[in-house]
Amino acid sequence: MALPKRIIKETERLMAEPVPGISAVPHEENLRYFDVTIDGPSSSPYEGGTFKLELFLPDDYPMTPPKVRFLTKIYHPNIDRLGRICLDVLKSNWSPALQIRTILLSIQALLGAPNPDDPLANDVAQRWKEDEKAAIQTAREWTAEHAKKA
Amino acid sequence: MERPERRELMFCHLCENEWYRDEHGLACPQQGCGSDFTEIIEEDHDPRAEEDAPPSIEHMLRNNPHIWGPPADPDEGDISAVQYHTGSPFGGGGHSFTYTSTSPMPQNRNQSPFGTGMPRAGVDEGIASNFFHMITGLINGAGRNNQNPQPQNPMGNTTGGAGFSRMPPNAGPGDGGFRFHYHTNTFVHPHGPQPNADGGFNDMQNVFETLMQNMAPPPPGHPAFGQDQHAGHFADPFATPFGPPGGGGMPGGPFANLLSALINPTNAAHGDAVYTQEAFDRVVTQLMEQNQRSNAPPRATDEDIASIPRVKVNKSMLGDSGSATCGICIDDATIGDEVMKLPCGHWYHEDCIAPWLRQSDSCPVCRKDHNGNVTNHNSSNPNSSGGGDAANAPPNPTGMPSPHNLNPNAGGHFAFPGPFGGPAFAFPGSPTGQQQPQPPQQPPQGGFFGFTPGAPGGFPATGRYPGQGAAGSAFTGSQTYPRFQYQQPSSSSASPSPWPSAAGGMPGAFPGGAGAAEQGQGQSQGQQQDGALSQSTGVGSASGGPSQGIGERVRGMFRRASDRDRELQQQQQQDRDRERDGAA
Repeated sequence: MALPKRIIKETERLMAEPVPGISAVPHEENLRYFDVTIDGPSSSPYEGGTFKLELFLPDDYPMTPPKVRFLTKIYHPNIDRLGRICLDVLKSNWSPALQIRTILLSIQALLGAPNPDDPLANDVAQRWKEDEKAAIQTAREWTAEHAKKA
Repeated sequence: MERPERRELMFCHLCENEWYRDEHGLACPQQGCGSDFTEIIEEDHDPRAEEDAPPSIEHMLRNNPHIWGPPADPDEGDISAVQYHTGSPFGGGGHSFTYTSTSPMPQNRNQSPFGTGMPRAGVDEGIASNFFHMITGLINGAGRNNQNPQPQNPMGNTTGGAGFSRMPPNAGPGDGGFRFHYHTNTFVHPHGPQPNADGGFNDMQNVFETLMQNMAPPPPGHPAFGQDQHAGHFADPFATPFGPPGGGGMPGGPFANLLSALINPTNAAHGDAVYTQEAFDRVVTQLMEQNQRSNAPPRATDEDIASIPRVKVNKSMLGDSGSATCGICIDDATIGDEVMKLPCGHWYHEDCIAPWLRQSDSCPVCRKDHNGNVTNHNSSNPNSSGGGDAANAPPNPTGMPSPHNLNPNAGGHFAFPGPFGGPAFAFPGSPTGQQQPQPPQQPPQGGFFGFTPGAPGGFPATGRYPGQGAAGSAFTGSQTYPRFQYQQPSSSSASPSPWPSAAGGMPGAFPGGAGAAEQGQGQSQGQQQDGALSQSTGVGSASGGPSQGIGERVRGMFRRASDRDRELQQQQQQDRDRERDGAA
């Protein structure tokens, strides 16, 4: 199947005008598969961490959202222990007007604004609600442990 | 000649009452009992003597609600000695089975059944032991013709180290019995009859066994099962635990499936039941994927789409900058192009927007439907204020945390007004409504697999589910989550992937794989780049510095990809030609 022009364009733009704190590089053998890194937003418990993700553009992209998942362990109420992300725009609120770039920005924003009321990782969310300070501390520790900059 | 009449003695498994069938029938006549769970006592099959044998599911359900109850202490599974001799209630001949697993030391605990969320190479003991139980079940099924009763194994065993030891039946070939010994530690065991009600672990094992027994027919045509007594035949499954299913002399059919399911932890599913955390995660992921559009706006009908006006792009549509792109294909539009203009004012190529509207009747940019109404099926919120401003939609009037609210602006965090060249989105930085709830997709903590609806616990894995909060989670020692499986080269669509639909996508997209890439590279010399690429040539080099390398690299990839596409098209053309020729 041909690689749609849109994917080519998006990729080129990602390369040419990278978003600060975010990188997405396609795999040579599969241009629909991207290695992604997202820097933890400043003044969040993820600050100073660089998180690896994988992103895959399905065949019917952009009619269906990209599949994105954290590879780096992260302590976050909306990211489960498999790295799956609970984010509306990756699911029912997807729109073909969104792009890789916008999705990754959304994810970065999600790091800066965890939402324990809409949890994917129940235990994390519960802790977040019960003892936010401790949860944030754990998130910080995990960041230091797993998401150190190379 | 008539069979000599004999009074049949009945036995109630619930109250242990006994009576004659011709007097009281099949149901238990005991006052207050009335159970149907009764059995005819036969000469070679006396349930009264078998109270130590694993009870049937019904029995367990009645007498031991604990198995569906709260999670059993998983460590109970570590210390288990199951004396399992069938004959009844499953109707088999006498087969003795001894499963012994002892882990007196804490460090051994992570080896116990399903103790690790991600079983890795080296047969996980949990898998192996489950596997063993099922094998036994199957063999019992297969051996039903064999009515020779087998005495219980009276021995104590001393074995060193972990592993299977297959002991030849002490009565020698032909006595109709099988005996398995599965040991995981150095221990001396007096194998007396053991009470079997020590928690969910054994019971669940037995549930499995029973189910499998009922489910799987005897594997036909395999001499190792049911007839041949040489223990060596059983070496096959264990000698190559990760071999291909069906290989190693294994029969096809349910047994092979079961075997492959069991020995491959990433694919440990059988029907609705899964046996490993990984398999469970895959099921959950699949469910999440299937439902991800469940809250999206409804589809537009073809009539709806036909009713949308087609217009020619004019100067005013291009805006002040004089250039605009279709928000879906991100191609530049030029004056005179025919586009579809939605009532909200956003316009797209028909080929771009029609497929989307068929899937979701909403403007990709502002999410208003083809009538210009805000698509918000949670709170019908008609909003006729047309125009292309994505940011002026009112917040969700329900005032709720807006689960599944389709109004992108309800949470105030996402606005993506078009054209895509510019800063098309904004994050006000307010955490409110950052994201909207999804359906409760988290597997119930401790809940593990499919056939215990609403019943967390019971299964041996329960409680070992590597919690995210726990420091010693399944990922201990690994800094990253495992990647998609489709990343592996030469992975076929059959290979399991955490994202099933994604896995299907890759092989189709690049049928040639890496080999084709090389080929394409060679052929690309002298070939013209396609239009889109030549347009954008220079973007990478213009930025200079390190990104130039990346730009070059990416363009190289595209070249190769487009070559591959071309190649593929040629091939398809050739195929078509050949088909035509064949038809002619």
